Amino acid sequence: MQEYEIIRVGGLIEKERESSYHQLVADFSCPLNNDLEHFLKNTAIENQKKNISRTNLVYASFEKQKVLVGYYSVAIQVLTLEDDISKSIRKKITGFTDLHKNNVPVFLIGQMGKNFYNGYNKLISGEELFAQAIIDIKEAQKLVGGRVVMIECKNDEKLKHFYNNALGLRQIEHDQENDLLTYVAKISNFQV
Amino acid sequence: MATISFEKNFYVTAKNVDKYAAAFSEKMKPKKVLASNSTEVKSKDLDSFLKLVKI
Repeated sequence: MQEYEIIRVGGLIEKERESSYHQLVADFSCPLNNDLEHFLKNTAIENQKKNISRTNLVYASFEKQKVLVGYYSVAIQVLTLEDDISKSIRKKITGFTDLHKNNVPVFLIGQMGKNFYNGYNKLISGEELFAQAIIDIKEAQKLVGGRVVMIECKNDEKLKHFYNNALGLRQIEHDQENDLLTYVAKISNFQV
Repeated sequence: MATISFEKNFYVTAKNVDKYAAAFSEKMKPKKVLASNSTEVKSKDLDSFLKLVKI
């Protein structure tokens, strides 16, 4: 089984290795989703500095070298319940019937993708990449709580099957404007 | 795979509440996700790791 090494982008910034970061991600390629590539090369480091999200680079060994096989970015978000949501449903989502408990902390996997450069995407599966994000989320949950994991993806049959059938997340929204689907699950639904 | 949404706000509204309720009502056995062995590259090891990286 392949072993992976995780580089925290925050660690590179702390060590003043921002130039190294740009070199590390320069060859990242995801022809199926240009947003993933754009985010990693242009936005991730600013988001990191502003504490909006945390980006993690996943490496594997290939021909005696370490190669970037994928990345994921996680952030804390809030799911807000409107006032007219009934008590019974409110309890299911928040754990409380209290009408003042309108916000649920959510871990958002905002970006997650494999590196198609040189076929490195074949060195990791989508499920393994997702598992790495879940490992981090469960660690964070131990420290700060949180009930829900949320993810957004393009409206694509393969991705729908992956998130829904393979991982058991449930589709909640369809953003028609951007043709994006939002999936949620309780963090406790996953074991790693 | 996944994309966007760090700037988005998410709401449970009358329109989507049934889907949320269904997602949170499900009694499902925890899904075992396939996690390979992984290690975090610690700050002190970063320089030596970067030397092994194909750039």
